[in-house]
Amino acid sequence: MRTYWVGLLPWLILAASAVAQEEPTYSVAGRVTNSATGVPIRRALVQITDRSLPSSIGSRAETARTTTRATFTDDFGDFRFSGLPPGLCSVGASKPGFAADTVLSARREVKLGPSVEDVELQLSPLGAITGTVLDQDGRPVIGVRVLVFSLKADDGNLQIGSFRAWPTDDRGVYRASSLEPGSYYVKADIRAGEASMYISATMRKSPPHEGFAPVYFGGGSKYNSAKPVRLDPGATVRADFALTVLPAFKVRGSIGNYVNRRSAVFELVGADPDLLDWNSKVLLNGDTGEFEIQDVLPGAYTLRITQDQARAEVRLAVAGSDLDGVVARLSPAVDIPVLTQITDLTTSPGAKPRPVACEVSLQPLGNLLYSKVLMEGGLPFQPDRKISSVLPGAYRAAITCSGGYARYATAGSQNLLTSPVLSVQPGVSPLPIQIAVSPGGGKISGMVNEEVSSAGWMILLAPQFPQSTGPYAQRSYRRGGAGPAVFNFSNLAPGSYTLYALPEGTEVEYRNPAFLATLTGGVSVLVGDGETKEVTIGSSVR
Amino acid sequence: MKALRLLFACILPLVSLQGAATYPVAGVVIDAATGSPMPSVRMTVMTTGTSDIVSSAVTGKDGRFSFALPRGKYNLLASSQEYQQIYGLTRPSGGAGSSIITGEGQDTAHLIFRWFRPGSISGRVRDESGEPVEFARVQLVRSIMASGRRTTQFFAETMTNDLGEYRFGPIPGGEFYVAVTAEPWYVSLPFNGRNISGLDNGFSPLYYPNITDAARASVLQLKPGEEARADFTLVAVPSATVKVEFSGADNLAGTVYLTGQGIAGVGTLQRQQSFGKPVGATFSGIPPGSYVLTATATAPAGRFVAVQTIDVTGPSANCALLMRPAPKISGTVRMKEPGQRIPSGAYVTVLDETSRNGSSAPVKPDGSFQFGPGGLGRVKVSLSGSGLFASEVHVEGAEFHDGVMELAGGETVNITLVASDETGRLMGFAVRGERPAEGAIVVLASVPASGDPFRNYSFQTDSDGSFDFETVRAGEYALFAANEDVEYLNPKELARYLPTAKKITIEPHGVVTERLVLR
Repeated sequence: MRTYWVGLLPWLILAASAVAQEEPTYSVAGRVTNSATGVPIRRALVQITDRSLPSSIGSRAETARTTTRATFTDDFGDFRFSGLPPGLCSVGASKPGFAADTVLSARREVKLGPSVEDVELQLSPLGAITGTVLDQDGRPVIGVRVLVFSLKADDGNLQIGSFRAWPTDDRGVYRASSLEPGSYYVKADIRAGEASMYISATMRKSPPHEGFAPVYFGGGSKYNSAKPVRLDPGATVRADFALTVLPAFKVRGSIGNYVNRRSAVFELVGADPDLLDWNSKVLLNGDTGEFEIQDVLPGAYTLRITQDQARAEVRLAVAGSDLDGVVARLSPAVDIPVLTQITDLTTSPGAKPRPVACEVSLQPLGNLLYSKVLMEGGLPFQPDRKISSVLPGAYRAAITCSGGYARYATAGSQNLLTSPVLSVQPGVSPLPIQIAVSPGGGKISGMVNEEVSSAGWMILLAPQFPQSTGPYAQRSYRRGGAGPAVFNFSNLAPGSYTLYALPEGTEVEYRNPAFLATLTGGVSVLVGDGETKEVTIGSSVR
Repeated sequence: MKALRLLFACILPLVSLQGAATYPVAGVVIDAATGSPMPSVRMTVMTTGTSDIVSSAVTGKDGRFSFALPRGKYNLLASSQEYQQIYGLTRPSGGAGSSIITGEGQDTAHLIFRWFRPGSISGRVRDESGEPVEFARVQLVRSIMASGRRTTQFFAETMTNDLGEYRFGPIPGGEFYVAVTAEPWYVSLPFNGRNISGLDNGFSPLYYPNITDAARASVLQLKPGEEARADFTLVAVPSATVKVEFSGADNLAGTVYLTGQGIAGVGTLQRQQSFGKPVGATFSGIPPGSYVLTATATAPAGRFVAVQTIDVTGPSANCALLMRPAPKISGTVRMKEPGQRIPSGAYVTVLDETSRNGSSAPVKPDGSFQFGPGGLGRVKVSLSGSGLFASEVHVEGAEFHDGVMELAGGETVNITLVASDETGRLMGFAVRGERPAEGAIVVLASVPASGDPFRNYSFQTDSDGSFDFETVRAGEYALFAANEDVEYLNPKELARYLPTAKKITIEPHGVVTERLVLR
């Protein structure tokens, strides 16, 4: 038989001979445990993927494909695979109630030949938040949406990390489960409901109902007055609520320019809105656009209705009775032109002209549940760029430039660098956003003279003058993967800045001036156009 | 008794400051099971036949409520959070309730509102190894007497939580079937063990009380206020992967449902999945059995639908679903009498014979009506409102027999309805002894007997014992009253009452008044 293979590639001969000689087989055995308690886990799924063979070897591709075998752990958390060929394998464990096996501790690479015993795979248990929602008389409140969410900073703005709504049952009990360890806000929000549509020639009215003001666990109606729930791996934490249930009222009216039989999102925003509010329970007549918003407590509100690419905003006040006859006229979304003007094109002789570009993104203000960041869709350097389909409302305009710095950015007479909140009015064609950008700018680079246990530092650069697109954030890095943690900010508008170093992983809301005011230990730097400043900083304190 | 009657005689209309007479609507809400008063129940008064709210208040500690209302016909609604009940129910599930008639000589100051406390059905779903099954789909099907027949209807569905627990509540007492479907966790994402040999299992559907044979499923009798438990243990069996491909239009995207045979004609949803062309849909862990695939999709060309049965026997099954445009249903109504105008308030209804789901379209002044894109199946067409009925129905573009259209998809249906106003009215009072018989069931059944739901009528009498069939097709009828619900569309049940029934002839535009005596 061997002579048959002479003349072919040597590795193929080896592979064939190995098969012919009945290669020895090996086994992998081990145990799956709970990473928080060390307790073995029964009936965990263990999958082993053979990675020893290349994905294709000519005509033998079919048999050489990676294969996966699976087994369950026994009552002692033990598993065993036998009859495996030599080579590299990946062994992973998973089970409901535990974090996915993408977590490193739940997956191991093992090299077979010889057999491998005592592989320990650890699964990280998920947690739950559960509790009871009662009224002032101690009776259960049914159908409350309990919102459980985490917050994170993204590009310096607060964003929702994870979010889910859990209803209370007829005992007033809710249970939010499969939660990763972390910090959660828990909010008892208004009665379950979305805009439920009916088709009728006449308007439907629902009987009076009680309501309550949304409240966070730990008190308060706003996230920043609440006490987040700290959830350790595998923990079940109780968060009970005692609500004050009051008579509530209806807001009734009709939508102008309503498109028949299509749903709409209703937001009833209070005078001092929270980051995250569930939409109200609404009855919507799909034929006429008449609506009834339920469970409204007395107060002043802005009613915002969004249907597809159109929106209406109406201010209203609810006193001690139902409010009828509200008319909310939908206005279509608009496109906002973006014009970039590059000034001061003179470059030093012989220098290569560098590309200069700016982009604008619009971050909706208010309820994070429905916010979607809008960006201009055009390519840089295209003359007719625009931000498409902007619904009426308030946005924070963020401008990012490369190859230069924005000297000014305006929308009509509004200076977007000093007052970045852009209000898009219904039914009005918006003025273009105009950006004047100068190539070049200043540079601030340097190093952090302290070590941190985490991977590195988050460097914040806060301008000390109003006419700026900052603040900016950057992760420190190490040149060639070694040496001190360094950073490098370029294309800065000339002026005075403060530098802060925070341990990486502390994601912060650096676009919030109130947050920046809480930082101490920063270093001030003044940089001019075309100038480079080298700075060494220590860690800053929050 | 005599003292009470004297008291009634003393009740005179109260005259409000505006000068319009008002009458008391007052009484007590009691727990139907124990008779004890129910505090803090919200009472809402609505004008019968509308959703107009006249007044609302909350019962006191003694369960009492009191309104002063002008002469009229009202519905009284009691609600406690997410549960509500109309005045005059004789049992917790179903029934029309009774309106309250106010006016001279009416005793509406001593109402007894029997409140059937809501209950709950909860339980835990485990697998054969005793571990909780999360995301098991628990479906509740209710058996109910409605409009003269006993039907089973989908009631609610929920998913088990991470402890394998589910809970339905607050729900009315009644007769329920419970069905549980699930897929083993190791088959589903993110565990994704479906392609690994030995893991391609599925769970057979389970029915209350924890059995796999749907034909032997029992009714769970839920008493008012009862907290019933129904636990289930799912057993994994070798199962199939069902691949579904979709054709019929470009850029289809929608949802496909895999439904098992289920209980008493109500399919048990096994799985649902969204799909997009060309990706298709794959259901893994499907136990052997007979299923119905139902798909609805939207495409640039409109809305598309398909229904197909599929038998799953081996380890895999492939199914190609040809999506057809959703039936477009429109038409015109014309009056039988030439030159007669179509009164406003008429509407055309299409009712699915299987699911009993329907939708209505208003008839415009020019007689035209139009439905949105609809579903498939056997659909009954009718005309009602404003004293009209359809004396003739002509259907173009679909199979049509005995008032039922067969819709298979792709149809453009044009319906012509000939509207007749040859209807009359039957009204009267039912009494028990000398007292008004409130809450009696009055049945007006066509003669000869027909199972047609549009030719047989029932009415639950109001607080003064009155009944009023406003729109009755001219013809011969049998009229009787009973103290309990009657399955009058079932000829055998109806036959029990016919010997004592009154013969009634309704003439076009005629009004007949009758008095019925109950034992």
